[in-house]
Amino acid sequence: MMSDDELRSVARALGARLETDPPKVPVRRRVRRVALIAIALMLGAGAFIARPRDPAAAIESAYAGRFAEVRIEDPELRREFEAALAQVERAIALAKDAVRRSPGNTDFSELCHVAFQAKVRLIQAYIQGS
Amino acid sequence: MPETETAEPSRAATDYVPLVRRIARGIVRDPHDAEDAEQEALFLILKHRNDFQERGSFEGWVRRIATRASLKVAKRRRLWLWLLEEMPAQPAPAADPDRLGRLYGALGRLSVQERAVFVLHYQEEMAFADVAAAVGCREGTARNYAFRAARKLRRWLGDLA
Repeated sequence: MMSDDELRSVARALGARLETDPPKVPVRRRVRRVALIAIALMLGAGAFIARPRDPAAAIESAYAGRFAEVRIEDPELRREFEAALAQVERAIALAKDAVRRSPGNTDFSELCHVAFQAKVRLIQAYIQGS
Repeated sequence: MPETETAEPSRAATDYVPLVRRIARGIVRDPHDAEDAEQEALFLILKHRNDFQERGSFEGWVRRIATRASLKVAKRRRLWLWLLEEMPAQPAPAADPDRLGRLYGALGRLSVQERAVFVLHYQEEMAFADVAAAVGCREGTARNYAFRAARKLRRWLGDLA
C-alpha cells in the first residue's frame, strides 16, 4: 500500500505531466442501468399522460353496473323491449360520437347522460313489468 | 505547503497558463471540457486582474479562479457522466510503467469534489484552508474529501511503485 508521501510524489509528477501531455486513459463507458429504467419509466409515464382520452368513455363509466340483465318470457314483449333498446343504443351512439367530436360542449355531454339514463330507465321499466 | 508567494498581479496572466492547465486537466479530465475551463479561467483572470486585492498571493487567487471554473464545467457534465457510468478498468499489471496514467485513470472514478480536493492538495500542494476556499467548502470537509480520495486511490492502485 502506498504511503501518503508516495501518493503526493506521484500526484506532483502527474501535475507536471498534465501541463504538457496528459496521460491517455482509455475510458469505456456504458449507459447506467438505473438510467435506462428511469428513461423507460419516464417514457411510459409520458405516454400514459399524453394518451388520447375518450370523453364519452368517462360518461359511460358513470353508468357501469347499472344495466341489469332483463329476462322476458313473452316473445312479443321481448321484441318490443329489443326494439326500444336498439333505439336507445342508437341515441347513445350518436351522443357519444357528438361528445368525442366536441369534448368541451356541455350540451353534448348532457345529451349523452340523458341517453344513458334513458337506457337505465328502460331496463328498470321492463324488469318491473316482467 | 501554505502559499508563500507574494502578491504579483503585474505578472503576465499568461505566465499562469501551466498552473491553470494543470488544475483544469486534473479536475475536468475530458480534454475539450478542460480546455473550456482553462479558457474561462484565463478570461476571468485577465478581466478581473486589476480587481485583485492584496489579501493573499496572486497565485492563490489564480488557483481559486481555475478551480471554480473547472468545477463549474465538471458539474455541468455531471448528469451526463452519471448517465454514462465508467466501466471498471481492467486491473493493470503491478509493473505498469505508466503509473501516472494509472493514477490519472483512477482520478476519474472519484467524485468531482474529491478529485478537486485531491488535485489541489496533493498535486498543487495547497493548504487545506486554501483548498476549502477554492472549492467552496469548510476546511474539515476538504480534509474529509482528501482522506476519502486518498483511501480510494490507495485501494484502487495498490502499490504504484
